[in-house]
Amino acid sequence: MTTHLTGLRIRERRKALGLRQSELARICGISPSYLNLIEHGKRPVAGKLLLDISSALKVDVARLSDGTDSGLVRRLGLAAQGNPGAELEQVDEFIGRFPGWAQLIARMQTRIDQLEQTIEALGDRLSQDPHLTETIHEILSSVTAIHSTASILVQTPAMETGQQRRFQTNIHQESARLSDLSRSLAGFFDRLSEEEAGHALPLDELDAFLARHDYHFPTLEAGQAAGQADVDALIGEAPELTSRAGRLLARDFLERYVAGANKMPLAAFLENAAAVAFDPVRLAREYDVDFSDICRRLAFLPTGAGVPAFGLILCDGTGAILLRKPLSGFSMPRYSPACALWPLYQAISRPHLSVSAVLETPEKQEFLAIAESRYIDLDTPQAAVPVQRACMLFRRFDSGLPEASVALPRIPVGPSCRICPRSGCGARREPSIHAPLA
Amino acid sequence: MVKHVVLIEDEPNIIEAISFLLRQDGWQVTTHSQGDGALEAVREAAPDLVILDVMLPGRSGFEVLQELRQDPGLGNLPVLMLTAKGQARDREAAERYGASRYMTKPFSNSEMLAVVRELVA
Repeated sequence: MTTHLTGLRIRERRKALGLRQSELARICGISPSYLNLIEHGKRPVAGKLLLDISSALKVDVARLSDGTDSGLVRRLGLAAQGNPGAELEQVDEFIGRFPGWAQLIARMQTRIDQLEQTIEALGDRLSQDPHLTETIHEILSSVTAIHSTASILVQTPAMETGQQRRFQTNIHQESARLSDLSRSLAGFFDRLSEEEAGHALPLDELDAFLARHDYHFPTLEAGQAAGQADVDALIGEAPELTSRAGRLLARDFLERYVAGANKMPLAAFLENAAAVAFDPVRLAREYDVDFSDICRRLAFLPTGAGVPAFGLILCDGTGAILLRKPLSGFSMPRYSPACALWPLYQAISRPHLSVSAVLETPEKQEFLAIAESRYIDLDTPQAAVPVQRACMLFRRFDSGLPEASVALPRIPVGPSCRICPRSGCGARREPSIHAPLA
Repeated sequence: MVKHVVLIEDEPNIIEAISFLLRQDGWQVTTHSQGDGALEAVREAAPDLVILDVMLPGRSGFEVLQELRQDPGLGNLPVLMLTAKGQARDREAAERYGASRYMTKPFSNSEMLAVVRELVA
């Protein structure tokens, strides 16, 4: 499938670097003739070898593999969990020989994860929804009163007229209450089925929406002219925003986007950002805005020359993810909590102080990350309880970085424990499904 | 001798139906419609039996039952718990806190009368 393209890209990139086939082969520990076969699409390449080649060529693995990125190995690992028959040690070979099947399994695994989440959410909804519990309780009470009273009326031979009249009135009252309750119950299930029609979580819908727009919204960059109508248009035409909750998340996101775009007009912002090497802390000071507002602005810039690609993750004090923008090469778990060593979580324990580090992934790729958290102002009855929001912005640790970042501590991190191959990590919560990294 | 029952229940139409049934059956009925003050109401009435709903405003029926069981004078009083939830969890809680019997709503009148007669027999 992608074998031919991948080989071609390896060849082009190698030539661009002025590297000989034999040199690259030696670095990657394969024979020059094998590399030659790979470059001509006669041998598949994937997994660790592809990572080695991409790192030798100083290029992101996704640029070589046409979307079949290193995350594929992880997702197949997840799929193999609990299926001892799967030959996990041959996963590279499998991806190489059957790339289409491998993609299919990975997509099915992602789908299974989504569906499990939906089932869990629906289960919680049914067993714990206070409105539903309350309604059922009231229905049973009402039925009890009607049943008991009707039995008395039928079974009591000579009842005093006043008493009989009272019981009839009671039944009448209860039947009116029962019809209100049943209407409310039917409405509850209607709303439930409407909301869950998309089978995806609201955050997944937002992810898909942002990805389709390539994490940038030109129609909202029109200066003060951009507004509600543009936001409405974007939401109205979005096929992935199937639930009301998903549309609300998108609206909230886009309204903040407009506010950011108005406060930091694009052309000037690009210029100012470039002048400080896209340093979010300095830009926040310069524009006198929140760190998270700057991070949102930086992460959702148009892709183009001189603009580094940023990844972004926002969470609250519980670690629940509120917004994410993925960056190739840096794995972010979709549902499980991420690596405890990420600066994002250190920022939560040190509000208002920025935490920076160079993060090294298990694939030996380096990212510059900077995180900060703050307490947000609530104008609700919960205002007395401090609520935190944390934000982490990250980019490849390559050229054009702010000067200060060179001296930063290097932290070996992972995506999340379950799929992290590192051994001897004190922050580990649960064993990995991968063989530990020596 | 007339037997005395205290009915602790917050639904007015259920109170009226149960009270009527029990009076027809020869009981003296005292009613109380919330969790708060339930213990005092029972103590004052000194009944032969308590019928106690689980979902009450103020304190829950389980809390009232717990206090009843810890009270030296009322510890052995027969208590029939009523609830609109038939789940195993509630039944277990009723047994743990020392309910004499447990009945889920909706119930039939004859069943209810049979149980209360049995409890004071």
